[in-house]
Amino acid sequence: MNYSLVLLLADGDWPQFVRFWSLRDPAVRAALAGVLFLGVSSGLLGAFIVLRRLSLLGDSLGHAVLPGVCLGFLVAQAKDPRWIFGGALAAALVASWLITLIGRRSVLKPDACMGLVMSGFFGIGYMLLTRIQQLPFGSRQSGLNQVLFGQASAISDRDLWFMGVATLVIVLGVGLAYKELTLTSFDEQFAATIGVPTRTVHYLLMTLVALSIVISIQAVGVVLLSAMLITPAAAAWLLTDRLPVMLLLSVLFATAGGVLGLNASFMGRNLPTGPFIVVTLSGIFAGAWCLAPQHGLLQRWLRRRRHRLRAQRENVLKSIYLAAEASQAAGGTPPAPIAVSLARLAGYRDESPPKLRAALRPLVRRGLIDVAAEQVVLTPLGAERAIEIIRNFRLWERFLTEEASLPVDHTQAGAEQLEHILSPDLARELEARLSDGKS
Amino acid sequence: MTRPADDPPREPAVHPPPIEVHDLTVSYDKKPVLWNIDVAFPEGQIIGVLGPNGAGKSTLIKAIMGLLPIESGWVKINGRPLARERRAVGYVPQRESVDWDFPVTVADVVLMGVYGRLGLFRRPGRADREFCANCLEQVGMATYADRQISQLSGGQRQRVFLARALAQDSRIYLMDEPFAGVDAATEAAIIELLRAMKRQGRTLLVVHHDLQTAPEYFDSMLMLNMRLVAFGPTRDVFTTQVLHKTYGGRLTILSEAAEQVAGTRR
Ligand SMILES: Nc1ncnc2c1ncn2[C@@H]1O[C@H](COP(=O)(O)OP(=O)(O)OP(=O)(O)O)[C@@H](O)[C@H]1O
Ligand SMILES: [Mg+2]
Repeated sequence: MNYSLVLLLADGDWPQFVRFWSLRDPAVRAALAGVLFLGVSSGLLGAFIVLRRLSLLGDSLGHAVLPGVCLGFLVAQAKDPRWIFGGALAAALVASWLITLIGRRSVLKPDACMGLVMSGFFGIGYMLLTRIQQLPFGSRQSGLNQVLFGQASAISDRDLWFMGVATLVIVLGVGLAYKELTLTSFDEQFAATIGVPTRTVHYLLMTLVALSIVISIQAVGVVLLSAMLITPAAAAWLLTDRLPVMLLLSVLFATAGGVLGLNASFMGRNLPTGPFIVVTLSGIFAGAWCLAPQHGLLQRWLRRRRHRLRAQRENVLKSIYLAAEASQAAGGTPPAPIAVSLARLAGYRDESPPKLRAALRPLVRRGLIDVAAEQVVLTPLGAERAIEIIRNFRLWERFLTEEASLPVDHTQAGAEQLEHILSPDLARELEARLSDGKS
Repeated sequence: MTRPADDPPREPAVHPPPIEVHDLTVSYDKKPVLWNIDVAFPEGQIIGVLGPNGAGKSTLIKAIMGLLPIESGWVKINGRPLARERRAVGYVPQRESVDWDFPVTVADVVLMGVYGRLGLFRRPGRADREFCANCLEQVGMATYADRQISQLSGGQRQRVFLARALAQDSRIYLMDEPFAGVDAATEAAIIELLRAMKRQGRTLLVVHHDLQTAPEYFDSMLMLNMRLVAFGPTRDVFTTQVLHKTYGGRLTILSEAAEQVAGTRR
């Protein structure tokens, strides 16, 4: 759904799509490789960033690299990746150091420190950027205007080389310090008490994050690059409660979002890649949010619906049994087969015949009843199930009045709800407790 | 340093106390919250740390664990600086100090207890896992090993923290309110566990809030209210005067309770 929206925005066409996936175009190959590197590095680090509640820090550092990029460009007087990456890395490190410093030397809380540094750096960066564009060597062809929203097709082989090395460093760093990163993310104080150098671990993580930010400037652009860190990891956290799985999913989402976004931007004739990647990632997040197994919207809706339908079915079954019982003059257990006429059942349930027929259909499908010649007959399976439900209901009702000592008129609703979810084990236990009380 | 072979090894005359706190002052933002604390805790006891809210109990525990900068004074563990005795001390933080939505299982959390022994970058092995499974067993949580930690009740979370502490296998433990918010059955199980640890000769320093149960649980008590009010064996320290001094005028019902307890002990 989200992806078709991207296609629509991209005004895509089929030949471009084929050209993209045929991988004949070297620019496409470089862009794809770059986006894969990004997916791995930011997917991995993003998980730790989100778990440590440092999402805002990722965003701040993302914006803060702009002046570094511009200064690097000014020094090299061209788009030389060594200077651009170096400048960006330096700016990110200075910014993270400043954030820590302001926090420690004032009463300001981290969010304010990050906001201050982020906007200040971005402001300086943007001033430099506009100034550069007025310089002779800073014309449009310099490609520097793409740092705001990214242009993956401008990734050169030399850029790619840097990105590959940075990704390798990040993967090795996370792999080596996995235990320390996990422990300090979960319980930093405990980590400190067993001698883990928590500050060093924090700075290591920040350095790796700065690296991953620097290599995403080309493809995603400084304005939106924090999404590369945060969105895939956030989506992954919704889907699992195991850290290794979360890391895996996060990397998967980041690379998938990168590749699909790249494809969409390519079909839109090389529009900036950043927004496309971010929109795709947001789509993945929305999907995860709806489908999440524990608290997902879809799961919750399905669970509720399943329970409601089951309760409806069981209530119908119960009413068939009770109506049949009532129509036996003598009362007691009705002789097999248990049957009641449709008209009588409709009267008993106070329901119109068409509505009753609709309510009976799911029971017929499940082989619990047969409807023939205006008679509803419980199958052996249906009779067994009906007796069980009624027994559960009565057990629960008695338990509530006798053990929980609720007045009878308070027990009905509770019993009506619970009879449907009472497991056989629990029913047996209830029975045992009630019979204990009697003897 | 060399020594002639026939020179008998010089044993220290007295065994250094497990925890010695000397003239300790701790401040937050220049405002001291603990003043000149001087105390040496005896070995092999369950020692209660009591005092009103804001008395600095957690601060004392954290300062001993090296989690807070010390303004003046020093702390020694087994006669040596903490940095050289880290493995001798286990820590049970307050339950609320971590995010229980973190994507790890109960077994993962307990395994963190052995990380201190492993050292940097080394991964726990099968023996470590088995040892941790045993620790979980001891707190009665073995069946929860694969649960995600957000699915635990408050008392179960406390037990997981205790299992992690057991996995540390230390001689000294500092515990910040291990009984907070647990039901009577869990509280009984926890105190049983602490007593078992004591029987193995371990020293336990436990922050506690309930004056009713305190005299029954602790061999010694530290009464704290920013300053050290009293420290000593429970029978000497858990008296009406000391409680009054510790809790000030705020404590009328509780001091009456203490009076009764003291009465039964006379
Ligand atoms: N991080 C902090 N920054 C500034 N002041 C703090 C900080 N933590 C604690 N304090 C102050 O230090 C004093 C002692 O706090 P501490 O947490 O040690 O008390 P406590 O005895 O553990 O109290 P409680 O029974 O409520 O747990 C309090 O006055 C508190 O306001
Ligand atoms: Mg406290």
